[in-house]
Amino acid sequence: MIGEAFYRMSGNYQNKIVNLDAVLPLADLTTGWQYAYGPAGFAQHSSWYHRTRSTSSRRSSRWIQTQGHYSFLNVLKLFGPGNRAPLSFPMAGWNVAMDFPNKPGVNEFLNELDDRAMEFGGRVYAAQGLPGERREVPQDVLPRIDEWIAVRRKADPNGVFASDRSDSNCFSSNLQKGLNPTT
Amino acid sequence: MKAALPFGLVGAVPVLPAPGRSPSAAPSAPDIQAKKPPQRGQLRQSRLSLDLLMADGERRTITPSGGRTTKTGRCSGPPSAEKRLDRHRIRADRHDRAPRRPNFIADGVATSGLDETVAVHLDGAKTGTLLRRLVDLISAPPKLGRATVSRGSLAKLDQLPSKLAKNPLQFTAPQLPRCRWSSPIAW
Repeated sequence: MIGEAFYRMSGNYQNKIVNLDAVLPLADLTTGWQYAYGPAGFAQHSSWYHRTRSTSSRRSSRWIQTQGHYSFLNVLKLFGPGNRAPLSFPMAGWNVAMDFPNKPGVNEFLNELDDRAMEFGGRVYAAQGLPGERREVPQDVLPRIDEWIAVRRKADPNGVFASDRSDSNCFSSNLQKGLNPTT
Repeated sequence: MKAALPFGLVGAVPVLPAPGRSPSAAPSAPDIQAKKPPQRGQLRQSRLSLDLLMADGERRTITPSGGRTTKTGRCSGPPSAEKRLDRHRIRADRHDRAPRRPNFIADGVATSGLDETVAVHLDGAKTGTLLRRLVDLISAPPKLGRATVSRGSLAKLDQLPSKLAKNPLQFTAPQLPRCRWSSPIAW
């Protein structure tokens, strides 16, 4: 509905002066948007496809449309080069970000979406996940996890710093490698 | 508690021991991260440091390096109190620069389908900055993938009307609706 409304409102225009507010992501129009995500809200999914493989993102989009899980707020981005951070998700290519209502079957749907993204040579943004049970994200989703583990081992050998993400299925088994077993 | 933590309470989020996760930074992380540019005083690049105040009163200051902004994520309470923090608070020392709001000269394009949307993105990447785009992934083909795309570049002073040119970066954004935080989200 949001997408439809904006589609109808936007239209075509040229050389229009717009301020920063007009080009921000919709979520930034309000505070507290992050609380819309969770068991009673939305599950966010973000995947990446190589720049030369826009066909993959198209095939993925067509498959999503047929699955009965509808994302009302979708953003397509063409990423530039990534940075040096080991767990950084963005890199040059296509990014599709979607917000799906948490309803029965969405876990299975997103797991399959993960698989399809990987099958198409893409990547999944592992920092976004679901509150329910979810299989562990494959190692190649985090291809530089070992570099991060080395940083963590050096900066925080006792595992003092943690987050909901580091405790999640996506990261826990990998990050446990960075903890000092003697403490 | 205040006496034990000599750095004041303004901007701090107390976190009490809890058997499960304590989403201590959930209310504060967006502020600390400056993830809300429309709000006064919360533009990016404005954070100079973060103070992490430990349970024993030790203060650890985290500062950005290499020109990066300081960021933090949610902090958890202790699954194992022996190994992890059982109480902490986060305070961001904010030295905000004056909020600014740049203007853009933008073109808007409403595409009719996925192929056109992809083409506009590829073209936009060559010719200008893509500012915002929303994609329809609900409608069946041929509407599937239609999008509204805004692209452009920062406006120069001589491109602005006289009213805006007097103070081109004036920050006048209203405070927009606020979603109330009511309960922790148990991710």
